Amino acid sequence: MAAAMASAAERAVLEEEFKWLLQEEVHGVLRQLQDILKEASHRFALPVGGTEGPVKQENFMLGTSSADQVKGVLMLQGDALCQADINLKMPRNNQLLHFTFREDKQWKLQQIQDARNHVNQAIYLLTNRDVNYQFKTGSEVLKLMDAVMLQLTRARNRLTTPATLTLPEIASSGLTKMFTPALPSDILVNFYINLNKLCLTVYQLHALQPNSTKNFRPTGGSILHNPGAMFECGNQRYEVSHVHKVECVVPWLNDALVFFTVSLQLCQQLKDKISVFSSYWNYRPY
Amino acid sequence: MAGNSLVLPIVLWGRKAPTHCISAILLMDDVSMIVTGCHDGQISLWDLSLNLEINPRALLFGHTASITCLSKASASSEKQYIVSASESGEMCLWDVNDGRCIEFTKLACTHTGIQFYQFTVGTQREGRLLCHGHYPEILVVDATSLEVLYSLVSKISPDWISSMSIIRSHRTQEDTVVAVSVTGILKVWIVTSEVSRMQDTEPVFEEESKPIYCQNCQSISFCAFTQRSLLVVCSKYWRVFDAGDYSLLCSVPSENGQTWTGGDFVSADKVIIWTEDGQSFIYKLPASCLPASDTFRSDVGKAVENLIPPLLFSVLDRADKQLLICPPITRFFYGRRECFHKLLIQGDSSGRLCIWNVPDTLELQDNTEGLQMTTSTSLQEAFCKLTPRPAGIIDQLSLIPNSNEPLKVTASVYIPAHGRLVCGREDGSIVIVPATQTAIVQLLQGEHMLRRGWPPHRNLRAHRNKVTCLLYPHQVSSRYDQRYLISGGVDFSVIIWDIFSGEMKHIFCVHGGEITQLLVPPENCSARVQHCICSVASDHSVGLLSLREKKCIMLASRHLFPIQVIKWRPSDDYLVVGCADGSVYVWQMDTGALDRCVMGITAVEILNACDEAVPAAVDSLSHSAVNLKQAMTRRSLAALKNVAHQKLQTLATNLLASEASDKGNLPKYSHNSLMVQAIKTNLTDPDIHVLFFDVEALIIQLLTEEASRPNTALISPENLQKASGSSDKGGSFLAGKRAAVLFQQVKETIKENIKEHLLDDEDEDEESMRQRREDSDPEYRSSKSKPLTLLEYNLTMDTAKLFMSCLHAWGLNEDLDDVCLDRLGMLKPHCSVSFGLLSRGGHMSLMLPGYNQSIGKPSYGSVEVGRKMSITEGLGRGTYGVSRAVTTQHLLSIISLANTLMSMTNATFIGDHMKKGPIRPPRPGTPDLSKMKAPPPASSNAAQGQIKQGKIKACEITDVTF
Repeated sequence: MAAAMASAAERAVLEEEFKWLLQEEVHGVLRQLQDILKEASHRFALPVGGTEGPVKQENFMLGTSSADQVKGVLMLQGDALCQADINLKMPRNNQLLHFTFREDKQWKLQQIQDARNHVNQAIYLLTNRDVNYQFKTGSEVLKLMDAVMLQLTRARNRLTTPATLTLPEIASSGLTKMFTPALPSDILVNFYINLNKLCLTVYQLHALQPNSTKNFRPTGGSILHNPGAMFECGNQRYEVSHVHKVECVVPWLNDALVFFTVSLQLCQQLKDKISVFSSYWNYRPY
Repeated sequence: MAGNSLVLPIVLWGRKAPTHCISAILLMDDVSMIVTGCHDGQISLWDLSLNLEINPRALLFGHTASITCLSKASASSEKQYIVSASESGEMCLWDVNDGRCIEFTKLACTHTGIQFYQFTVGTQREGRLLCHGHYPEILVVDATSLEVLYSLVSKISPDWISSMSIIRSHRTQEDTVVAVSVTGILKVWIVTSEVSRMQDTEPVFEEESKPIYCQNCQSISFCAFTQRSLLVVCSKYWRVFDAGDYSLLCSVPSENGQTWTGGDFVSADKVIIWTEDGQSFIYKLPASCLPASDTFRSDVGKAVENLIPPLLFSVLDRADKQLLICPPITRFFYGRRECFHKLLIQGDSSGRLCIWNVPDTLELQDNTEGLQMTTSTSLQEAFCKLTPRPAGIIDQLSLIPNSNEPLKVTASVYIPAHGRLVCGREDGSIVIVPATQTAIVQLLQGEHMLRRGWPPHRNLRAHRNKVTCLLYPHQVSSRYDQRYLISGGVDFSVIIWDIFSGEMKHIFCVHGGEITQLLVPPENCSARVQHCICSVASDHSVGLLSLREKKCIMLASRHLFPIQVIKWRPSDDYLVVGCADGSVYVWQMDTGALDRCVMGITAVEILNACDEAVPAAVDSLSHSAVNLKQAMTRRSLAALKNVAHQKLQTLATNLLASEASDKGNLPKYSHNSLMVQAIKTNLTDPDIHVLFFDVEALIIQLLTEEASRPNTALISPENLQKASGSSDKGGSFLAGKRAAVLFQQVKETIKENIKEHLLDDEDEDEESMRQRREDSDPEYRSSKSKPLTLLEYNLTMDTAKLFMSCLHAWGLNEDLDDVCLDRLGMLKPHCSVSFGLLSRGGHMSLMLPGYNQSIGKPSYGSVEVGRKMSITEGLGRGTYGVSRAVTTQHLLSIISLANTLMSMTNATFIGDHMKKGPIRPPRPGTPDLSKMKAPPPASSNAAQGQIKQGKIKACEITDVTF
């Protein structure tokens, strides 16, 4: 702010401080960032670079405490669901339905893969800027931080904001064909990640008669559709009669999210520190 | 009035070239043009001459985020289409001949690479774009509609594709897409025959999937010379593979910790590889990699890592070791233009392009020397070599004693009601100046050049450093006092000014950081908030500053991340703050309490809900391009849909039609003939000012003024008859039918306007007319309050004068030029004026200063250009010949304006205050002016006849080129 008014001595001190910031502080933050992000990347526990390592398989029980209409046991291996076991109690006749994944099928959770790839890109951006690299300008640091933060924000957003799908999209997603015995035509399932939770939604449908007097209005995309939502699929109109949502916390996703948040804050703090000096070097690139 | 309005932008760039931190490069196949994309989302077009000299031509605006990739999008040599993609998932198809946006779309995912490919469908060749990015498929997109047709998917370990290459094999007659995923798995799809239309939506699965253990793959390229090998460049090594069975032929690690960022084949036996810091190396491939050699494939299966690196041939280093803020982008291209060119092109963060012409016969060189750079230029360099230097809007008022550079304008706001432009500068002063007059000074030659301190202006001083934002609240909502102007600075203060008296009314010091944005709350807020403005600062705080109470009524701080968006929920008394990290803070405006802070889906939902409630109050602070886009949409400038490229006739009829359909709305007509919009390509740049001339509005304003010129008592049906009669007479000058159509339309407008005016006058009595005159007259006002030292002037005529002078094709006809100068009072421009072109969806292209510097514009219409050059005899004054779309718009504007001016009684620009001296300017519309009117009507009519003839001639000349 007060560049014009700052005395020569003040300026010298400021310049010293800025130098220290570029030469010492920035590298400290970058190292810290790398450590955190590597830790986050490890959480995704994926085979790295095609070198097949044993990838941990984890079982998750999905259920709610209140109702026991839907229960699911899912096995997560990295970014893929390799086994699923869904128990469904039909509300009408209390009939119990049981479905599992076919042996040959896996369901990839794209959200996890995307988040991991974004983190790896962020790490890649940082690897070439180790202690030996000399930052000469503040804008250089800002540019790097912007690039890293973009990747981290994307990584986090992939986990915190699941895709909004329309019901026909869910119906045609291929997930319906994964099960044995085959899912009845009046049931739709969807898996996604929301924050640190692995979620399973089961939609029970009932077909609308072609001559139904009900005002047919297809619903748009949504993460979770409500009962009453309508859609058309293969010349048949359906209405959602029941929605069951069960979820389970995935501990390592929680860790990853915390790491993302912490590193984003680190980045922003570094940016803010650099920006403070920007106004002192108003008349030349700082 | 959102219809097809004809709006022409003229841009004042200022001396500092816009920041252009290059993120993507493309060379057109005919080696006539380089296209670069930058981190701020603009695309620059650079003309390339035969001897490889570069001259920047235009800047394309429209993307809101960093450009990730560029690709050609047409194969035919007729069209020069390119496609650009941005970090935010936008895709845009441009005609690079005139900078028109042809199609645009937005997907949720980011593309990082696009390649053009032609499929054969029956007998037709159809253009397709193969895109990869932050998703596990390769999307096949139609190259004209930008619709996703189908995708190439992986069955085995699908992952993001990091790079891709299309292999055209003449041996097998099969074209394949070879891609490497981020996990280092090579994927192959066969794409030779287009899948029949029925199955278009079905995904295509990969033919082969092979792990090649390539970490951080940067590029993959196919050897076009031998068609037998593939080069894969990773960050720490590069490898050559057999294109037949993908077996490894050689692998070379990087030395000294260098990071490779890409490479390509220079010839059958040489590759060029470049590093992150901008160096390039040419290597000779070992014999085992050369299909022509006997030892080809002799090393297959032996050592995975060949430890002997092939011979280092030459080093191409950056010429200047200028500080870069991010790694430069390097690409290798070949193309044919008279001879075969192999060019290595590099673009860096300072907006500099360097070209190395890679010779075919590379001899072993002294490693220290390296290959010399052929050419290099940057935007700033192109700006600097121009004389006169590119003008900024208030350069003449911003000169400081011991510096060559004028003070930079850091914030600006245009007040259309007064025709004034308010500019905040880097020294903290704010200048209020009549916009047209200052633009005339900057663009045109004339007597005003001799006057110091012209045009009259007012200086407001209180900020101690750079002014960062300006707001004139009355313009947004009439509930604010029209005297108030608000400014914010890097000195953390927000100041209220009285623009009429020039006084500082109040200074707020509530923020702990530079003020970044000033906003106006929506209409339906509580009464208290309605008289506030909202200020955003770089310490991540938001304040509600009451202009009435002169105090801050709420300060929302402690946001962890920069504020990206402010939204309002007036019904709940909520202020919604969206931060850069995606978190949303909901503040209660009345109490200043933080209601909640959310993330993820809820945050998105809250923001969306605000949009539904108050669609007008959306204000994105993130990017200037967004702001520009929104500004333009709000003022409905951008709605111009492809008009430019249609034939003149259709355009004329369109204009007519829109005129006709809008007639009912004319009383509400609030368009301004001139809008001044300041844009920044980068937040740290000074303002660039774009003058948007709305031709329709200008004509209407001229006619309205014409109608009001005689005493109101004189306006009668007879007068109306006379007016249309005279225009009929004017019509006889015209030979062309088109012009007659236009003329008819102008006549219609006259009628309409006179009618409208009559209606207006019925409502207003003589007293209010006098009042109005008093308001706008400084002499009257001076007796009442401290005057605003700006002189009275005729805004509309000045605007018309500026516009006509810029549009006129100077140098086409000397006699005509003399008539224009002497009789019509038009002024010659200092140098070629930078025009722009608006196209669909708020996309815009602006010509850079000196766009016509390089001789013989290398374009497909070189014959055309040559012809035009001979006509203009190298004067190059006219904008004709720049591009068809621009020429069409200009001719249309000039014809319709000339017609309008002809039909007016006082049709010359002579007789304005410049002739009469500054002390007592005549007031147009007062009786004494009509007496003083200089040229006798007869001669002026003749002169108008001449200009009309000239215009027709000009348009005939240009018609030939259509």
